[in-house]
Amino acid sequence: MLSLFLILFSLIHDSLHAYTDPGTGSMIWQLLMAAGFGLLFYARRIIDWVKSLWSKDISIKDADNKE
Amino acid sequence: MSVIDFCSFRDPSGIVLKYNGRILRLVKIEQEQHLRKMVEIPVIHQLIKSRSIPATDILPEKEFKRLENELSSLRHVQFSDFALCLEHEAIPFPSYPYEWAPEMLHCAAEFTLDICLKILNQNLGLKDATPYNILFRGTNPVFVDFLSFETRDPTDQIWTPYAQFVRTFLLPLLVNQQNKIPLNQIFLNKADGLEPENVYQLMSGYKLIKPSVFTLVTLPTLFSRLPQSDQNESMIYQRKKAPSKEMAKFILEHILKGLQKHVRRLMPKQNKSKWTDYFRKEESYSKDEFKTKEKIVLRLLQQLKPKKLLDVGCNTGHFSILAAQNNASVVAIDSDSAVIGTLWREARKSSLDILPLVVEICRPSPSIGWDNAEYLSFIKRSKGVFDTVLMLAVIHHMSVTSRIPFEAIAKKSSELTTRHLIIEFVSPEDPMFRKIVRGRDLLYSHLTQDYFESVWTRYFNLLSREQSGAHRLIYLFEKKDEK
Repeated sequence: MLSLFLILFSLIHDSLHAYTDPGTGSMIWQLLMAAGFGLLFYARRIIDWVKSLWSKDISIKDADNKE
Repeated sequence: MSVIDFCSFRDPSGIVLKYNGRILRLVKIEQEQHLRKMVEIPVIHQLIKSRSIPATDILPEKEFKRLENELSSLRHVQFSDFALCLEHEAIPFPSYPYEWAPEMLHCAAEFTLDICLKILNQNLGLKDATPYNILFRGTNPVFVDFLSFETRDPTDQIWTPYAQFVRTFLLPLLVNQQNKIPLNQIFLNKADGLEPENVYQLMSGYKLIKPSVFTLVTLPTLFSRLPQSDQNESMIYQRKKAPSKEMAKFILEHILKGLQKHVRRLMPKQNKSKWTDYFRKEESYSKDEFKTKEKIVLRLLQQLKPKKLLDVGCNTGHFSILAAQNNASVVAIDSDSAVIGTLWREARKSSLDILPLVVEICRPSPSIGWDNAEYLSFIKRSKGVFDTVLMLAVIHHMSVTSRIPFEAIAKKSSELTTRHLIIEFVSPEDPMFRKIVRGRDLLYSHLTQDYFESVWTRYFNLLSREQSGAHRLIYLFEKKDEK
């Protein structure tokens, strides 16, 4: 977080532009958060999928052992 | 004579008006279907049942027609534009964020997010998220903007009112917490709260990387300074759809829960001021004197049985609590935000019917907004509401510190109450009186007991008078009939 801040700060701290809507900054931040949570959503799905494979694998092995 | 006040008219979907004490919401033709569907949704019923939103009914067509006839003289209300009228349960005393202690804004913020999360499962959202959508019934928040509920596109992953929530709830709380700026200074100047850019200028050094400041102020300010073409900017505000409903819900839930975390971090600390320990310090009363005063007030309350009471200069609300415990619905005002915050916490903890507000009686909240009529002044809202007014140990502050003449205070006290006034007279010999006079004794030496009685009896009949301290007396007055 800190490094992101420092990079952004050094890039744009002194750059002032013509009119920008004051709500724009919050909106961009929300879009970035949404993108981050979107990735988290996929990451969780992948983890759940791997877990389900793992548990399936174990239950098949258990069944084989019993036979 | 009928009395009409326009309470809300900015939303193009409808207007709210107060007509002879009734709260009516006229709904535009294009919103009719949506509204009819909305009142049938179970989560809306649950919110009404839990008193989180006011009880709401659709007026029968006959009554709607009658209303149209009665209001036909209002040239700026084109009845043919409206398809139906909702009647909402009235909230006893409307109040606005510039009259709230930070604790109340914090509670309103938590409440708004709670509602958003509750309705999210039903594919509903809020169009806007501002403290003006919340009123307080005692210490309980009520969401009053029925037209704010909208059907959500289930794949929409953006909470449109995010920036407004930050501006009107989080940043005022942040600035209050970090820079000690009172809420009335923020909201009386800027109805729409604070922009991250405004707050950025108030923060410096390490404060800019504190967790709440960094994500609510620093990053948005820096992002807003990025060079943007008009095309980029309009793209930012376009609806962003997620590939699936589940994903959109997951993202929105996380955004809302992230905001809940911010709100928790911004919980106001219990503030101290020179007035928060007033009753404990025994500066103005010995323990015995205070007990005597308490006995007198309690007896008067039990005798009068007030239904609606205004406590002016309530301090931490010792007597407001006494009134509420005796079944009065109390509005308690004081100019000090710290004492109002203390009273709010106490009243909420004990579920007492007290609405504490930061209002300085000598400089009460003005009528503001469009045409100076959007949010009515404290005095206008108080008219005809209170059957009893309590003014204990406050008139010397009004007459000496704020230099309001006795005649004006007496007239105003008679306008604030519809019936009784319990008022404590503090004579110029009283130590507190002498302290606030600061050596200008000659200016105020005429404020004697005889003069006080001669002025107040112009407006009131004197019912009783009892000694509450060495130089203090408690009077019970009944308002004279107005000629």
